[in-house]
Amino acid sequence: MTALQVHRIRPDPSKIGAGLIALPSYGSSSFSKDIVRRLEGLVAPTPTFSGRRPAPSKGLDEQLYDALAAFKIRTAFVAMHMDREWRSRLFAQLDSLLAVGDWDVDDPAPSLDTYSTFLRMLTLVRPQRRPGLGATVDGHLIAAWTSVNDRLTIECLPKDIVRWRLSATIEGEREHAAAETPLQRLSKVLEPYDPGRWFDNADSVPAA
Amino acid sequence: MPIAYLPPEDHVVRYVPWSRLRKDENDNVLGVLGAAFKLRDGEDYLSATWAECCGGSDHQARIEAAVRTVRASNLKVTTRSGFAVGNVGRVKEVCLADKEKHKVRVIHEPEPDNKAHTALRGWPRNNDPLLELIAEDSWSEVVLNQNVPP
Repeated sequence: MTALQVHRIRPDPSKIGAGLIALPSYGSSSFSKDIVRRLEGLVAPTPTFSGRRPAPSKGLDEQLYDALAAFKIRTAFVAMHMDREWRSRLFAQLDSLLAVGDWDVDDPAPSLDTYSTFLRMLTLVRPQRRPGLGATVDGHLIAAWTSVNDRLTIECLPKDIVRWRLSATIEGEREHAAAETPLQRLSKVLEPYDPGRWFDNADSVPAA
Repeated sequence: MPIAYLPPEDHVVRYVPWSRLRKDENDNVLGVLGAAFKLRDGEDYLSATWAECCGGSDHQARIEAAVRTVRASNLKVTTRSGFAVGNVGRVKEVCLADKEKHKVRVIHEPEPDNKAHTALRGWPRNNDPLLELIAEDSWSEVVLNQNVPP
C-alpha cells in the first residue's frame, strides 16, 4: 500500500455515540414517540459541537506530508489533461518544494485551495513548459516562468483568482505589468505579451 | 545612541528560503522571487545583514562572511536556501522611484545573535509589483548556501 492509499477516517459528529444508545421499537402511543424523540435528542450533536472535532495540532512535517498527498490526489482528478511524463515531473517538483528539510518553519503549508487554483490554471493555459514553483509567506503557491530576462510570476490565490506580474522586452522596450485576475481571463490578459515566450517548450522549437 | 544608516555603496544580504528562490522547471535556481522581500503580518521592517560589517577583504569575502554570520544566528538556514545580495543605494532608489515613493531607511540595528543585523524601515507593504522589480533588479544577486564553505 502506498502512502497515498492511507485514509484517515474522521467519524461524522452526528453519528458519534449513536451506537451506544439503542432505540427501542416504536410504540404507537404519543408517550412512546416522545421517548424516542428525547433519545434522539440525546444522540444529536449539541450546538457547541456542531462542527468537526478539533484536530490535534499537527507538526510541520505532518502538515507538509498531508498537503503533498492532497495535492497529488487532486491532480489525479485532472490526470487526463496531463501527459504522464509531465505529471510525474510536476510531482517531483512538488516533492522538492514541500521537502520538510528546506521548508521555512514560519510558513504555513500551502492550502488545497491555492493548489486547486494552480492546477486549474495549468489545465486552462496548458503550458508546454512547466513553471518553477515557489510559495509566499502566507502559503500561496507561486508559478514562475523565466525566459532569459523575461519573467512571468503567478501567485495562485484561493477560489480561482491569480495575482500575476511580468516583465518583458517587447519591440526593444522593457515593459512591466501586474494585476489580479479571475483565472478564466488569464490567457486573455496575457495575450498582448506573447506568453509563448514562457509557455512554449524551447526544446521542441525546431532549429531555424 | 545615534541612528546608524548604512552608506549607499554598501550591501545588504537577506536570507531566502528554498520556496522563495526563483527556479526553472528542473529546480535550477535562477534568482529570487519578489515574495522573498514580503513582510509577514506583524513585521515592521525587513531584516537583512550588513555585509561590510562582517569583515572580508573584497566583495565576495564580505558576502561569504555575512552568510556565515547568518548561519551562526538563531535563524534556521537550510541546505538549499540562498542569500540575496543588494546594494543599499540602489534598493532605496528603486523604492523611491515607485509611484508610491517609498522612503526606505536602512539602519544598522545589531541583535544579540547577529551584530550586523540591519532593519529596512519604511519597507513597501502590499506592493507586490515593486517587490518583483526589486528581485529582478536591485536585489537580484543570489548566493546559494551550499556554495559558501563553512
